[in-house]
Amino acid sequence: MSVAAGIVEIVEREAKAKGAGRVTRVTVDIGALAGVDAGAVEFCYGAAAGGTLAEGSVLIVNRIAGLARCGECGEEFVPRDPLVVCPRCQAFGARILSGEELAVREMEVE
Amino acid sequence: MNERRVVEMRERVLSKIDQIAAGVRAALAAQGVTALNFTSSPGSGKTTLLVRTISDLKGRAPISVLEGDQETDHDAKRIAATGAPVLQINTLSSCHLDAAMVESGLRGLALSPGGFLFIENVGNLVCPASYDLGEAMKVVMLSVTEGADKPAKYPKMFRVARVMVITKTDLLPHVEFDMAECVRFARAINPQLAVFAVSAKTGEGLDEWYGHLLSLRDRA
Repeated sequence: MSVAAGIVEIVEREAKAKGAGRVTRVTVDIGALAGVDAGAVEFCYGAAAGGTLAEGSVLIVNRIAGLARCGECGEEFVPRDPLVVCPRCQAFGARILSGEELAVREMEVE
Repeated sequence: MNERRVVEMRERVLSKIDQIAAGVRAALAAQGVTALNFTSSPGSGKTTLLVRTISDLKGRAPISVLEGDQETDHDAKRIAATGAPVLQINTLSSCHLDAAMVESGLRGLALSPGGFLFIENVGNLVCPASYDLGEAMKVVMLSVTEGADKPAKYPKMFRVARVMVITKTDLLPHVEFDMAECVRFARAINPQLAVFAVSAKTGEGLDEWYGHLLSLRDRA
């Protein structure tokens, strides 16, 4: 709910700054390693948007898969969680290439 | 029907609690205060080490303390006996401090420019790892009476901490604690982790710990 409220806050602030009457569609990026349950954000969004310029808008969640590269052997893999262990050489501390995103990408206003 | 248009944004979403943490961090930086968030299991000796640190650094570094416990003000009283400004936060049903508690706690706590804020978190190695309080860094403590494999069991805390302090080294002759193994587990998870082994009772290792603390402040 806190994340959904954060999205609505950004959207409403920008919509006001752009002189928009209302927001019709919002696209957000949520990475698999962001520690945020995308389904819960979708569920909460409608309630969070109520009473704001984003009321009734459609939320589109762009789910971004996790990808990491091992610092030891260079293997690229899909990590299970942010504590990444290389499946090939078992080394810790692989670098996360993607999956930590949590951002408002764009919105449609009128 | 009004004209529809698309606005590109690419703005990172901070949840409300992260926004509060960012505000706390900015306020502390503006006052020149270095904040450390101390975490550990219950009973690893956080308060004892903090009391000794405050006493030994008297005259070198002013230290204020936010004490987090589920209940009681026992720890705040121990800190207050050193003369350091202290404020107790009781988290009641919550198992960790959060940035909103710290923000409101700071309204009632005197801070000194060029000094430290020690935030003693609730004894818990799980949830506090996920909560940014606006601190400069997390310091995780582990006593030699615990399992040496604790870093492997609670990896997130040891991953997000920048410093690990192994406490109660005076008890080493009486327990089967493999220091090298503990450090190996911790560094496997977090290769950059700074490690100190201390006894607040005998004073062993404290000079290195104090040296590191003061260097953190001077770097800030």
